[in-house]
Amino acid sequence: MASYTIIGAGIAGLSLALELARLGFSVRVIEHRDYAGGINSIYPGMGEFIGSAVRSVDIEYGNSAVSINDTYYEVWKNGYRELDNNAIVATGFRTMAPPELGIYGDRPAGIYPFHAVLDLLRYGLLPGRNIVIYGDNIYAALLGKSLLEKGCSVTLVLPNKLDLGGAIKDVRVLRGRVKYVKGLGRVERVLVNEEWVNADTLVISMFKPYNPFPRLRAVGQAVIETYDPGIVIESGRILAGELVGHEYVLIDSDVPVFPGNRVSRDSRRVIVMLKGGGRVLINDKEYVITGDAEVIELPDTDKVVIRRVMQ
Amino acid sequence: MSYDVVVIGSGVVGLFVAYELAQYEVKVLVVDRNPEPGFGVSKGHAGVIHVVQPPFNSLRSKLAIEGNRYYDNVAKRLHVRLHRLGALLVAENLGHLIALPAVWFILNRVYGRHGFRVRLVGWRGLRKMEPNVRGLGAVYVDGYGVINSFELVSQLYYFCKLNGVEFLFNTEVRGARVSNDEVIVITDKGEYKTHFLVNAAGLYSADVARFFGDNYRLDFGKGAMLVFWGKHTNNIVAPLQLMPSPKTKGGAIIPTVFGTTIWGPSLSISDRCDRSVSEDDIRILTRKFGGLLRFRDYIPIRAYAGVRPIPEGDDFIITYSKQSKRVIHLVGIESPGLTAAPAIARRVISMLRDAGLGLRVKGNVREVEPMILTKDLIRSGKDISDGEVVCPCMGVTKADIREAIRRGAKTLDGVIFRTGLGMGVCQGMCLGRAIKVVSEELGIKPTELRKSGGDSWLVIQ
Repeated sequence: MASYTIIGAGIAGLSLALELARLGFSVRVIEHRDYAGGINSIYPGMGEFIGSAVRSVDIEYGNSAVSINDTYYEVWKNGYRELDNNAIVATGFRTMAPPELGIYGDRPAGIYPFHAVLDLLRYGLLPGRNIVIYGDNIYAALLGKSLLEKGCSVTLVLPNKLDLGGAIKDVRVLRGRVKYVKGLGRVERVLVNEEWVNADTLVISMFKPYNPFPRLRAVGQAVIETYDPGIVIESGRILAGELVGHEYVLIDSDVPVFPGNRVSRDSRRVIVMLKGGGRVLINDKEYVITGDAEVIELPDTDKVVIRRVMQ
Repeated sequence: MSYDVVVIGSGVVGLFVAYELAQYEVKVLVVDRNPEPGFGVSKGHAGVIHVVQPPFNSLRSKLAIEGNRYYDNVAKRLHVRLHRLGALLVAENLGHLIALPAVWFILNRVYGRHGFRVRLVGWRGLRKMEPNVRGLGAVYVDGYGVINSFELVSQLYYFCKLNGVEFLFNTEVRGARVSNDEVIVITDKGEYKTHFLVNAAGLYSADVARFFGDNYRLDFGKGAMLVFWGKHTNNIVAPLQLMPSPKTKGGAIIPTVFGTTIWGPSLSISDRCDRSVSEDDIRILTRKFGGLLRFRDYIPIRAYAGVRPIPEGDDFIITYSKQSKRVIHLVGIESPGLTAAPAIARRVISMLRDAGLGLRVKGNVREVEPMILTKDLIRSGKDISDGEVVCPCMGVTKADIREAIRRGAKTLDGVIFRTGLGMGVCQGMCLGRAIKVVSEELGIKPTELRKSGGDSWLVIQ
């Protein structure tokens, strides 16, 4: 039986590892950082899932996957090995870069991607005192809350509407876009729409799915844009089912579907991605996608056609 | 303290001068206002070794050709990554296509005799050479290069250190005067006596010249660049400009040695400290280069700008001070300063010799060993140690950070420039960990670590 290496001990990697282990495969998880959970480690209620997974999955911390001249390696303190095609990418979102977001200006110290700040907090360090967080997702809000609890002053800038449902109190919220950063040595001011906000730190909390190892299969937020940890965990289970499947349902879709253009006939569960939500027709039956992605159980047929319903 | 030569400025030009001097039995001091070498003009270019530099009769055109030739040997000796490639001037419309033979004729006349191959490339040839480039045809000029300029600065510095050149960083020159057979250099850290002085102060070169009563006017030109993750082209590609003027000459699509692509630089007049990039700058770059590419769904990962000193008359000024031959000014060394730097340095050496500096060749010049990163070891199948990866995008490990520090890095940027840490697609998702590891390796608290000196603090407790 195949033995799998999962790159990343976030909730997608852990969920996939648990499921593969349950199905009897040998599986190990490598984690670049020295803790599990990734960005979902600050998600309320996820601690329990992560904690119990960590106890039953074989995780090697400090082992990283690296692409060198288009060959993929696992690298650890005193060695390395080439990764084969049984490695699975669960490295999560990447943070978007400033020019990608239309943020211009100076490049002083104090502009941090979300993940860097998460690590700093782990080490008992703070990125600054007066912090602007840019991002319209739950992770941005949760990081704001953590920084506020450490005594920082926090402004959350949302480029799009976000229902925070009272998740964060005392955080100043601005609707708009961060457009410009000023500061010679350190961040001094951040332009939000037409208004200058004094700040010493800008944390970028806008994400994109990203697979750094395109020849390998990927799971979770490395391929699915969802901000719902439940869907991330489900993607691990779906991929495990996919890896053991014998019979498949073929999928013809005009919207992105995880795990791809087929799914194991035993589970038939897929994740349909539609940013901002909407409706799709699956073999002439209409489904509503809420959020950015939804888990859907496909009908038990050889072939399924998924079409977006244009409003 | 007394020296044979004091060099003001440890940019690529000052370092090349010091590198040439390090081959001789002379006592050399390099003074720089920044915390590390190459943090001024040299921090903000695109790393291109040029060929075509209009106007063709200018000093900078001449020195660029000369410097270009020296680079293979320098890169080999200092173990700096240099990729040779060509440049394509692409005809985007019929007017340009009709003009191509004339452009070929002129460039071939000017550069052909210097050994640079210039040829016409038709539509089909262009498609074959550059599948991702749109265009009706092009003129191809051979002999360009892209270099890891951070590695170049680091290795030049390391070579100089190994061979006895002294460096004073974070030191501002406040004044200077010539008295008899000596030059007194007054800095905020004290006074230094020297027999000869080389002013390679880049953006501050006119200010230093003024201490000696030599007046030059500098404008400051800002060049904005946009960096993408991934390779767009095999060669340097630029749209053909029929009236290239130094003020509007504006960059190219450049495949860097890091596997990324730079669009730029643009050029606008700015002030000395302004390295900001505006939405307009990016719009100009996108308009100029976006249309040249078929596929351009690449991720822009970084926008940055460099500042260059533009002298009156738009040409390099390499001259003795009017007051004394003991002082040599290098004023307005802007693009293609990186290309010309080795040639400028040789010229400075012969000027120093003419001015009376005795230069006896050193018997025991020490050579630098290459900066070998963990990924180089893995690539060649060798054993590694301290391979804990700090930056997965670029494969930078703890051992690499330690090596960067051993070679003189004192700031986070110093480590970044030597290792490529945080320069990948995620632009620093690893910075939290990096700040911890770099400060540990430097033996300081994370709160004491700076991005690039001054007020660029990184974290608080």
